[in-house]
Amino acid sequence: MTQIMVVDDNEDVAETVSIALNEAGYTATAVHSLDDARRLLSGGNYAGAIIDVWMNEDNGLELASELAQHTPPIPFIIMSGGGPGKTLEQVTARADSIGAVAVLFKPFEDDELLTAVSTMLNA
Amino acid sequence: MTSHPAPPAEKVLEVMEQAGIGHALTDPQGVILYQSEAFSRLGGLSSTPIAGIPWFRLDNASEERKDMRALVWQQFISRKVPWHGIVHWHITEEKIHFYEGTGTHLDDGSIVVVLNDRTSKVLADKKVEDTISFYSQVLRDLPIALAVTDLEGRVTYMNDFLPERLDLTANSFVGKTLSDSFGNGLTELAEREAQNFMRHKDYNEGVTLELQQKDGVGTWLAFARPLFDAKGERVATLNLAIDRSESHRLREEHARLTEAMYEAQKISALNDFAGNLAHELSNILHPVAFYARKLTGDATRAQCTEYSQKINKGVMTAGQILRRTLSLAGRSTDSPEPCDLRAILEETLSSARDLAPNGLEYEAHLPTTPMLAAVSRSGFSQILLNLLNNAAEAMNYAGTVTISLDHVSDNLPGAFADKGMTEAICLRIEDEGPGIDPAIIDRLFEAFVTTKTPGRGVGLGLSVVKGLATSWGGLVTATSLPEKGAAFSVWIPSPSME
Repeated sequence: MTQIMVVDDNEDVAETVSIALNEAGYTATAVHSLDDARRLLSGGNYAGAIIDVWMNEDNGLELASELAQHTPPIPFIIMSGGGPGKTLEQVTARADSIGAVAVLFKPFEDDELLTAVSTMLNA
Repeated sequence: MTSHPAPPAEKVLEVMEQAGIGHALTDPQGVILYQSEAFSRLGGLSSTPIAGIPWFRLDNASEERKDMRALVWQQFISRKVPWHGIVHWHITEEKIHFYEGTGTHLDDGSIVVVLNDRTSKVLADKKVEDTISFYSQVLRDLPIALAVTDLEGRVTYMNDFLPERLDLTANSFVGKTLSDSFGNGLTELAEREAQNFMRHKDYNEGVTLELQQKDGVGTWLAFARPLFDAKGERVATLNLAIDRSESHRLREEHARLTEAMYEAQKISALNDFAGNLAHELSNILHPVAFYARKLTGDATRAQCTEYSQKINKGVMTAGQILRRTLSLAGRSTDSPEPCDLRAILEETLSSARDLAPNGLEYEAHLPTTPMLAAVSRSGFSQILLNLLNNAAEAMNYAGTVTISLDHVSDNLPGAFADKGMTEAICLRIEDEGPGIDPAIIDRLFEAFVTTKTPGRGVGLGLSVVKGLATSWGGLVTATSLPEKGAAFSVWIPSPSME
């Protein structure tokens, strides 16, 4: 089973993204903070991650950078619905620069999600 | 003048000698045949005439100067007219005396030379000249435009400061009126100031003049002062103008920057506001869309019920966010009127308690009788909701929020005491949260300042509280409590006792 981590402090979003992934045949694990995500990543075997940007005090892009530097690197998708201080374009540029496979803007379609995930897993 | 016999010639000569006026008799070459005592003294000569050398070669002047004198002497001899001039007599090479001299031809061809010591007068005149030249230079170089005008308003003197900026010379203004050059502003000012001075012995403020200069429009602050002679007659006007262009430009620049900064702050605040709204709404919309898609699939009846409930919940939450945003935009709608604050507080607390999760308590210390104040009912209710929400959120919905409502006459805020108030109503709400971050305590009541994590609020609650309280003549204060938590106080003026 291909394991994918979903990181979003908003439980509804984390849950619906996970359901969509599970129904497509992946095993999704939803976590709501960077600390939980780091803890699980150190023990588990994840093929990729889907990470929200604005999470309480946390910045999802930090976790994304860590995944990019992981050995071997863990591919990731960034999702965002906007937030204070940065435009979506700035977030996209930052996500691209640290090697995001795709950037999804909430709300997004299940097809968009699954296309991005299959690109991520073939990367 | 009454007629009187002339004094004896010898006596006159003696008096002149005493007065330091010396005389000598020379031949046509200027060689001294006789010299008086005063003449010897003035010339620094020995008492016996020096044979063969003309008198004008007997000092320590340069040979060049002595040759010049010889030339003048020859002309004097050949023209047979009297000579009158100033002799620069070199006692030493450096030390010079100034003698007023005359030369007169006698019938026998000999010459009478008279020397009168005018050294002190010449030196005094020279000093005056030096002083004038010194001050002229000061005036010319002064960084102030300066012009003296006569009673007809014509320029008799102008320094270079203004002409240089107009690419003209000071001389081109002399003889013209200032009105010709700069319009009537200065001339009218001069007249007004002169009359004012005659009447009140004082001056008014200057006037601002704008002049087209080679480097653009210059702004000048001009003053005019009447000048009087020793008898108190007005003889001229002193016109001064200070170049304010640079400070004027700086002031304009400053105003422009301040405005731009204010705009930038507003835009930045709006951006954050929009960012927060987008964040909250997108987190609601994504699940809503997801469950809407699932309704169209092969969902069971029970799943459809569950999904539509989730969709409904999401839409209602989004609606709540929008209403909160609108209530921030609209502020309070009803105008202040006497309301019972205790009743509003009881009502609000009762619904807050209904909604409170387990572990969140509200402890209220309410007055035993109604407490009237002129506020807007919905406004006071909004204040309570905002402060209670903040308190609950600050302690993560666990712990006790303490609320009190009281008449207070001690330790009134400075702004109240300054107005002579001796009593006020104080609503105080204390939480057991982490207290207030000292970094933002000064800006706490500004819009969009928030300690909440992104997505938990847009930082408008306290600015609304402050805005409402201020509109009733009240104010809001905040403090971190010594142990833990924060306290917010809303101060409202007590209704006046009639």
